[in-house]
Amino acid sequence: MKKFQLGEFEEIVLLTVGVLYGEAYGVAIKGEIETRLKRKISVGALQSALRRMEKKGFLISELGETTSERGGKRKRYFKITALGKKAIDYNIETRLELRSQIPDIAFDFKLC
Amino acid sequence: MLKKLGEWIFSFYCHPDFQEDILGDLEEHYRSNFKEVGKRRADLKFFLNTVLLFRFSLLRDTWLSHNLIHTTMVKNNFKMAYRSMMRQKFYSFLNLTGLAIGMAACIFIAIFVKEELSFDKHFKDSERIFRIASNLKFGDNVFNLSFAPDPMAKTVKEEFPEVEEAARTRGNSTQLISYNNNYIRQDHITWVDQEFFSIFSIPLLRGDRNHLLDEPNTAVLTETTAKKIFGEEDPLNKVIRVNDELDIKITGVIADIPDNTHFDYNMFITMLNRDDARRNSWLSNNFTTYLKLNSKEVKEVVDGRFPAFLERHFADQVKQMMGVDLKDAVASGNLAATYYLQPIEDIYLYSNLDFELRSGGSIENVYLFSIIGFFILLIACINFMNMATAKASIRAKEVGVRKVLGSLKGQLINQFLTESILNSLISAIAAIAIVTLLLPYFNQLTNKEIVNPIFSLYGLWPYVAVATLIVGLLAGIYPAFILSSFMPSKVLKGEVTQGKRAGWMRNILVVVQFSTSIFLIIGSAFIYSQLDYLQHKELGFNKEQVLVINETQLLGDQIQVFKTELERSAVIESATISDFIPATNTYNDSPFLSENATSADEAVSLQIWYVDEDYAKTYDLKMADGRFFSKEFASDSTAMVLNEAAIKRFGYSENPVGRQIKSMMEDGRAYTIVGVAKDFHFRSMTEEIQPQVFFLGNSTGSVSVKFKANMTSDVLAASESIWDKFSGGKPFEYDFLDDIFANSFNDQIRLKTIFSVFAGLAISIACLGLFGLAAYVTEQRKKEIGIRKVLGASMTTLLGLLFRNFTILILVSSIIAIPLAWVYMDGWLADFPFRIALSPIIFIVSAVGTLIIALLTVGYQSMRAARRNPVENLRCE
Repeated sequence: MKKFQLGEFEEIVLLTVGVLYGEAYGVAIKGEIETRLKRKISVGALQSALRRMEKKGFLISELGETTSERGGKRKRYFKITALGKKAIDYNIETRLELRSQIPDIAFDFKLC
Repeated sequence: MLKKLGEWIFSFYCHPDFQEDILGDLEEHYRSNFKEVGKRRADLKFFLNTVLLFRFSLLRDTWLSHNLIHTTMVKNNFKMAYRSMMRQKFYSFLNLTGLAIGMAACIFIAIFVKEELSFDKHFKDSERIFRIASNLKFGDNVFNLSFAPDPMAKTVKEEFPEVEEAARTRGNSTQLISYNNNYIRQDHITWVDQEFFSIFSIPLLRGDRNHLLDEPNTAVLTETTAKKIFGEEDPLNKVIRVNDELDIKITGVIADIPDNTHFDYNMFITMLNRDDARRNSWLSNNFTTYLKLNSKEVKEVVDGRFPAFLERHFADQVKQMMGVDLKDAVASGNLAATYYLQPIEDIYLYSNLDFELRSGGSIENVYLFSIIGFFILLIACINFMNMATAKASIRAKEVGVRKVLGSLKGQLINQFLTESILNSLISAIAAIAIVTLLLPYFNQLTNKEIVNPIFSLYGLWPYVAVATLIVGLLAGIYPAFILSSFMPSKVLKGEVTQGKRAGWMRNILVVVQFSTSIFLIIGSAFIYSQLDYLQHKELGFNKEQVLVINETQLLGDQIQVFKTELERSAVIESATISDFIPATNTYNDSPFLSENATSADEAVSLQIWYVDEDYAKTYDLKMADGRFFSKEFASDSTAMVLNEAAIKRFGYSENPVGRQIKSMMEDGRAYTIVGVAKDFHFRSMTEEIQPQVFFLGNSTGSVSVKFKANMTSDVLAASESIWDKFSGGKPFEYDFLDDIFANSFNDQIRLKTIFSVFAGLAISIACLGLFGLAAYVTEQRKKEIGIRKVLGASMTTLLGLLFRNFTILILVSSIIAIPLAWVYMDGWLADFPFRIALSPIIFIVSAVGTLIIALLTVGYQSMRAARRNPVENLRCE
């Protein structure tokens, strides 16, 4: 299903946006991913992933209040849409299904 | 600072919807970074982030959906240009052909000019290399030489701190070379100092740069020469024999000297082999001396050092030889010696001294050809403009409709410019194709070896591209403004669209075209007939039926017997032994005094030719007075024969025979004049005939043979068989005098041909334009013609009607062109001592010829129009 095309990084971002419900803006998402997954991500990659998924309809966004610590610039908060949720579910289901189809023997590691 | 720049870059490309929040995020990151790692790292990170944020999904819309320029309109313009071109295939074809030929001619001229200007610039540091030239004067004798005395190079290098390196060359001769008993006649052999190769950066292929010519009997060859002599063998340290007497070891091979160099040596023998190179004589100038200075600015400094230098070194020898004090002699004006430096880059184009190594280049020709190129392109551009304005009435409706539909003037100008630039682009491509096709012929014509002149590394393609654009703009700008300024209401009502102004402008343009063409035609007619005159002028000697046998010095003592045998042959009328062949530019001069001369100031410099008794007979020299040398007079060893020019210089008005002339060399030995030979052109025809003297003497380099008419092959067979009897297997080398003579004209013949070709091109392009114009005008007047014919006009009246306008234009052009050409040709001819008169016939013939060509061009169209059945002309609509 082409409709739910979701890359690995996009999936992580999408999930994190869900985790941070109500507080999901650029810096927070970046911080969350970096602490949880212990990997460095660049602002460019994150932002382009966010806008890409917004265009696909997995996310919607709205501008928040102004704060002084951002030089008077507003935050953009992201929220998962219904389509976004479907995409996550679909992704996880297909992976689980694939996982369950692996015969036990494939995991039967012996010293050989 | 870096942060600001980053912000600026980011806001430049980022979609405005995303800018605020992303910049806010960045600001937040920046602040936390600021606390953790400090300002500098934070700044850098911020900047990097803004650059790395350049992602497809974040870009402005304009970068994605819109292009930077509005291609729709441009596409439309191209389409319109194509359509209007196809609508009138015939005119477009004429236009494009004219422009393409014009551009091709221009490209050829540019290639030629570029090549001429590139001379000697390929050497490393060429701007610091100079040649010493001299200007010498004693009495009435003036010499402008490219030579300096033998100690000059060494002394100058020792005394002038500005001189980095100095080297001499002497001679440019042809010798017989043998290797393994194979004989080769090798030309362009010179003698040089080893330093020559430090001054001129010629790549050394074999050998040790520091020990090329530092021993006697060594020589360096160019690659081609080495191949010629040794084939595939390694030439290094091989020994060749020069003139059957001298063994020379090859110590190096250099790359071939590029064609655009003012010397063209093939073989360099060490200067150590020349005794005259260390004679330390300041008064004889025989050595081409090159200097490399430490910078090009010090040229004036070095020039300024020469007067004091002369005082130091020349004075003693002047006193000794001529018995005068150098200072006094200079002060009295009887003696002058000036030495100065010539940049080598200027030698080929600007220097025209005696003994110049290579002739043919002149800056005047470069200018002349540039101007011709410009004019040819101008004529082609005018064609384009004329046709465009002439077609205006057809385009006028189009312009009207466009304007009504909302087209702006600027857009219309754009459209017409696109059209003309497209035209010039197509022409340029065609021109490049023409150039590529004709390049071999061009090389043949100009005697150059140019490969891939347009797209090579330093090729002309940038110039061609720029020129194409400029031509397109120039040719298009006038029609574009005329056409775009039409009033739509008038045009669409069908009023006469071409104002008087456009017609006038067109007439002026045609006049410019034809004045230029007539000027070029007159110019090339004069150049042609002047050079033709020189080629066929009475020479004073017989150049037909003379065979020159070279390298006869190899026969040694047997040369007299060889000559006697030759004379005995049935096909040979007479034979003479002498090195001195007319038309070969041999120089050998020396000062002489008349018997009653009181001071050295009255000396006359004479060209000395050593000949034998049969010289006058073989070359058909005529005597003005007295007799030529003869075996019957034993006293002829002290006799001399002068030419008329020499007699004039000595000031003998009557009875010169029997007078005595003293040589200033040879301790003042006196000679008796036994005869006066009529002047003959012994050198180039472009020079005055100089004073000349014949002595009876030994010069065994060649034997000339006069043979009976139509016996060319017989005389070759006979001479060769006699040669073989004496030579012991050495090759028989010969030239025919008329070939030598013809070769001395190569440069001029080339010039003649080039001029004719370009003048022909100019007139044909102009006629092409006229043809189109005439076709168009006739087409416009076809209804008028039809009505006139119905009302009873005859063919002649109609033709007269159509011819009148063009005839007037051409007459006006002639009136403009003829005085200009007169002035110009007068100046050009003044450079020739022997020249044709500025006859009005050439002017008239050129003008009338142009008129006839133009009327023929127009005539075809007019005849067709006049003969057509009036019904056809009137029926339409």
